[in-house]
Amino acid sequence: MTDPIALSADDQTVQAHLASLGLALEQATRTAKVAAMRRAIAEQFPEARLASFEEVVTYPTSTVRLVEVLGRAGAVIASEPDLDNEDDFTFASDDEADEALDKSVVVGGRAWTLDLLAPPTGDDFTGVQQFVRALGAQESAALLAALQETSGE
Amino acid sequence: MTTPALQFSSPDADQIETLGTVRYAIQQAEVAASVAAMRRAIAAHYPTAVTAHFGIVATEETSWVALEDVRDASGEVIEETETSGDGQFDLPDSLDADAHLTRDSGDDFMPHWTLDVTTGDDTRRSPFDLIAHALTEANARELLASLYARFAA
Repeated sequence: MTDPIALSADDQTVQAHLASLGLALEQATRTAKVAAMRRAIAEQFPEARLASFEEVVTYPTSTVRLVEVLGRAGAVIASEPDLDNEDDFTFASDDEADEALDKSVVVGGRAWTLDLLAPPTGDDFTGVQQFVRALGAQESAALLAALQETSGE
Repeated sequence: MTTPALQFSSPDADQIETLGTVRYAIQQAEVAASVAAMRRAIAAHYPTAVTAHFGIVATEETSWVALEDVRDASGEVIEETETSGDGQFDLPDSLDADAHLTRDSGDDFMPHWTLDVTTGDDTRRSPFDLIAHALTEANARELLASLYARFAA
C-alpha cells in the first residue's frame, strides 16, 4: 500500500500563514462591525444601554441577529427594529457572535448582548488599520513589500 | 412618526465593504495556493499523472469539492487515490472550484472538475504576493497607506 498523497511541508506552511492572515482580518471585521453597530444604535436611540441579540435558525446555518434595544432603566425601546441591511446587524454563527458579544444562557436558549455604554474598542481605527495592527511586524513588512512590488511603488 | 431603519453610517458601511473585499482576496489567495500545492503534491506522488478529477461531496449542512482520482495520459485511473485525510485536497465550494479548475462534466447538481497536473503556473508564491495580486487597486492603496502609517509610527 502506498503512502497517502500529502501537501509538502512548505505548502502547508504557506496555507497556515494565509489562514492566520484570514483570522486577523475576521477579527478586524468583527471589531469594526461592533463599533459601527454601536454607533448606529446610539445615533438612533440616544438613551439606549443594551442591544439584545437572539439566534435565528436558518438553513444550512443559524445566525445571531439584533432583536431589541433596551434603555437605561431596562425597558425595551425598540423591539425587532427595522434594519436597513439585516446582514449589518447579524453575526454569521454562534462562534462569531460569542467573539463579538456577551453570551448568556436564558430560559429556552441562548441570548447575546452588546453593552452600548462599555468603553468602545477599535473606534479610533479603520477596519484596515485594525487588520494591519493585528499583523506581526514580519507579516506587515512582507505584505508591504508585496504590495509595493505589485503596485510599482 | 415612523422610525427610520437602523443603518450603518456611510464611512462605517464603506469600511465593512473594504474589509469584505480584502477577506475575499485572502480567500482567493488561499484557494490559489491550495490548487498549486495540490498540483505539486500529485505530480510528486504520481510522476505519470496528467489529470486529477474532483467531484462534489454534499452533506446535510454543507458541501465541498474533493479529489476523486488521478489519471495518466491514457485516461486510466493510476490507482485508488488516498489523500492525507484532513481536507488537504478539498476546495471550499463549487464557486471556488469553478474559478480554479475546469468544469468538464456532470450537471449543476453533480458537477465534476479536472485539474491539469502537467501545466499551469507552478511558481510557489508567498502568501503576501498572492494577496497583493488578488486585491483591487483601491484596496491595495488603502492597505499600503495603513502599512506605511504603521511603519512611520
